[in-house]
Amino acid sequence: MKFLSRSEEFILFAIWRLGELAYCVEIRKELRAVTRKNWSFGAIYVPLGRLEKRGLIKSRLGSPTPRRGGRSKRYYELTRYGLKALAEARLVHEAMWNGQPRIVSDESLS
Amino acid sequence: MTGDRKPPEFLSRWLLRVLPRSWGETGVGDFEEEFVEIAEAKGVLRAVGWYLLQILKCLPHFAWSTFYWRTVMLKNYFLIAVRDIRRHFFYTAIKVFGLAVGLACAILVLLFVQNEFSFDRFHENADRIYRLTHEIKAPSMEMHRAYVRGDLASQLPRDYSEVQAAVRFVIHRGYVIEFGERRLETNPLYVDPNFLDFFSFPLMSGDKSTALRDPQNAVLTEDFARKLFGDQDPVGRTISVYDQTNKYDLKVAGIAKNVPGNSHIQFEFLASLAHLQKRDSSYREDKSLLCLTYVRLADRADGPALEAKLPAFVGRNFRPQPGSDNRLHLQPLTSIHLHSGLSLELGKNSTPSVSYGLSLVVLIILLIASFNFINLSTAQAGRRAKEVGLRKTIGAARRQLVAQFLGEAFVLAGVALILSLFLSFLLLPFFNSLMDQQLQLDVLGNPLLCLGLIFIAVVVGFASGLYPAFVLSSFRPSESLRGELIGRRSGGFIVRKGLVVLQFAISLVLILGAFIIGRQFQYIRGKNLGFQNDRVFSLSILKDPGISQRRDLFERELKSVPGVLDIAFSSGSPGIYKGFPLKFAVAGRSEAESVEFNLQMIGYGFFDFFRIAVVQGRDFNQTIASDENSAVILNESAAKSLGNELAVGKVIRSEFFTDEKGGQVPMTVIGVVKDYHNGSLHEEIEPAVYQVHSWMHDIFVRLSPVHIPETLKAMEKKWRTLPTHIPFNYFSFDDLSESFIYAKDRRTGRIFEFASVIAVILSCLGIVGLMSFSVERRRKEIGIRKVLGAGSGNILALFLKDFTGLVLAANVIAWPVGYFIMRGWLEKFAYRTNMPLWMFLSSGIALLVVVSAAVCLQSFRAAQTDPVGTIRQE
Repeated sequence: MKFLSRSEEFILFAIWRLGELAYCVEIRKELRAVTRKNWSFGAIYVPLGRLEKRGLIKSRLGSPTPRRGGRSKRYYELTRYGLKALAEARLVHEAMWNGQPRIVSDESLS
Repeated sequence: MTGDRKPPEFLSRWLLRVLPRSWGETGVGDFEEEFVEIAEAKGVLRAVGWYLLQILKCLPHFAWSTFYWRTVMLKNYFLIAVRDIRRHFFYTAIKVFGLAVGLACAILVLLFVQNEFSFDRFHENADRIYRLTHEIKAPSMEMHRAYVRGDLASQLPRDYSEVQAAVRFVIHRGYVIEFGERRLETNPLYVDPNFLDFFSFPLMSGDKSTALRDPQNAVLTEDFARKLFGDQDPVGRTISVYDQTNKYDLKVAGIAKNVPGNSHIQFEFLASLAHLQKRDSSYREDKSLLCLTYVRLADRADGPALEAKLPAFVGRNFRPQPGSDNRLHLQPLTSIHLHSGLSLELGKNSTPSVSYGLSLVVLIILLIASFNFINLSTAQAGRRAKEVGLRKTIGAARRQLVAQFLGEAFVLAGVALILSLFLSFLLLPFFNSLMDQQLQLDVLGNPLLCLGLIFIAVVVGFASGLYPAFVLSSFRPSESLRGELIGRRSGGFIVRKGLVVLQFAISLVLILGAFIIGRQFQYIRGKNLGFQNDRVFSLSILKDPGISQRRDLFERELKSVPGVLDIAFSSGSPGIYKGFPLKFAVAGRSEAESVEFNLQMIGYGFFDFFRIAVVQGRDFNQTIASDENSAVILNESAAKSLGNELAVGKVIRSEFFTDEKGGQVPMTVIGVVKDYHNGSLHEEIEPAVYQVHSWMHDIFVRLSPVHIPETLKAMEKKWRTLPTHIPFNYFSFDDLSESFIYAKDRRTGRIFEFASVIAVILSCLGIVGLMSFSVERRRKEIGIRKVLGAGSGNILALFLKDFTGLVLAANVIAWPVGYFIMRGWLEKFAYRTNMPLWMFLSSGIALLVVVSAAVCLQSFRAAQTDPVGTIRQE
């Protein structure tokens, strides 16, 4: 299977973490919180489209809310393959970092 | 915006348009949520800014995707169009050919119109150059002429500072130029030295400021120099010019480029006006010289304003005479060709109506061609119905379909445009000879023409594509996909019939026009003009007065040529030159009762030669001395206006007949001749008075009916031995009257013929197309009819019936229209043919025959086919 790109990996992670709440605005907030960087809508939509096409996530339309100008939300959730891909990504990361000294301290991240 | 934390509605709509399709509504929802958050945190203004930025960011992608989808669809449209064209090549060919013919005509006419309106604009400062003209109102004459007195050109700049420069010239016609053995006839211009500086006629060699300064110098055009000198270098050589009385030498000082066709001043040979004045005593004084005079005004000077000051100038420079009024006018150089038409013009001027008329003809042809386009497209609409249905089902908007079919029309119009360029190259020589032009088609070097053509092609594409596009795009998918439309009316049935009737009617009017113009010409040719001009040839001897003095010698020598029956000398040709109008006072009547006659100078034996009967009194007699200067002959019309009693013996006077001391000479009427058509048949016979004159302008020769070419050759041989420098250039009398008087009418006739032929061809092509389509559609019907017992004749009749009705309807429209148009044309002739009913009938029948032929040709094959094949085919 093809590897996930980093942004795809982050987005899959965010959808998994958010569970029921995963729609674009929430995903964006989650990503901002985790990566401490601003994500544009485009940077999320494009990988989302790709992931959906690859069958790693699936979407459904939610009910419209006034806060969105009466427009409905599109919720995303992981499919079986998506979950597998995320787990595999984690395994690869752990295998890669196993037994290596830390190069960044916890403090420098904050 | 307080409390209402929502982005403006129109911004949301914009965003929805530019966002990638797949994001759709939910995408906009996400953006709005973010907007609200920003608005709450940082204020609405910031939020709007952010929102706008998002829209901007979407634009590149939006542009690209739009372009991509457009081209994808374009590719598809193109593919379908090409398939359609290939499958129905015949119909497409008819459509395109019609447009191409129409556009080719448009190219030629555009070229012509452009040339007409470009006259004299090539001169530097053309908009500041004016021609000075003279309007005279006097008891004896009224005229507005292009010539003014020679001294005004030097006086005007002195009096008015806004006049920067002035130039004068005169034209002399039919002079012979000689170099070595070679003799050529030309019309030299005698010009002021600044002529080449004033106008923009560039020199190829020689200096334009000094070339004509020396009165002994001459300037030739390239072509004329080549004809005269061949390959030798002409500059510096001496040539001889034959004046009316003597011969003199000039030196070639420069070669000018050939004069462009769109110049109203045409010349091959320039000589110095000063030389002419020195040579000829009657021209010596500037005051007694009549010249064409042009002035150039200062940069910001206003022509009309200066013209308003001219009456004062006239007052200072013209001796006032009771009852007469002199006026000077300024005519813009660029308006001379189209709007002048004064007396004594340099050449024949044109009028804008020629351009308008031709444009109208082109418009008619283009209309017929686009009718074909509309008819064939809508007739075949059923064919495309399924495609339209499918496109609509998968989401095509009507607008897209209209654009698709309009686009097809544009592409076909474009193809037709390319074809029309080839066609117009082929037609150009024919058009040039028809219109008497030397136009050249240089498409790339003529951006204005290119733009005009593209514009016309677009308009034509639009006009012919719009209606079919709307018909085609109107199909409902539910019907067209089930194939219901193909059997039933496939759109625009009534419109189609109407257009066919209109096509036929236009063709009919043109056919009628061509017929009636032809009939009028037959009438002119066949009409007894009152004089005999069969086998009469004429030769101008204006430029050699020596011939007039030795008439006997010339008469004897020419008559000795076998085949020459009779010979006469005259100063004017009957039927071509009717003389000039003069007022005559009649002895025994008061001044107010004076009469106006055309005075024509003739030679002895003129009436005899042309077989014009003398009804009262006698002809001029060479042996009676008083006939030379105090006798006149009248025609019947003139005699009638002198009173019904005997005119012979009456005495008339005019200021024109004076003796050496300036006193008026009374002229006695010695005879009356029968009326003959002294002018063209456009006019009534006018009262005329004839006087003999010693200076003859023409020799007329009547030849025996056999061996005319041989006789002319023998005469030329004899002519060479006679003492004159004039070359033997003869005209047949018919050619002469044709080219002088009826050329314009003849041209109108030929344009009508040409246009009617094209109109009929195009209409018939359209009919052939419609027919073969209708045959194709009704094959099964024909098969069933045949099975049930119909013969080929019945089938033919079935189709003929449809079209006969249309032709008849066209007749109903065309007859009155044609009648009124042609009556208007015929009214320009004082003597005209009638418009008999059979002429209308026969043009209607002619059209019917042609249409029937086209219909039969198409339906015959259908009628002959074996019904088994057509019915079985499913």
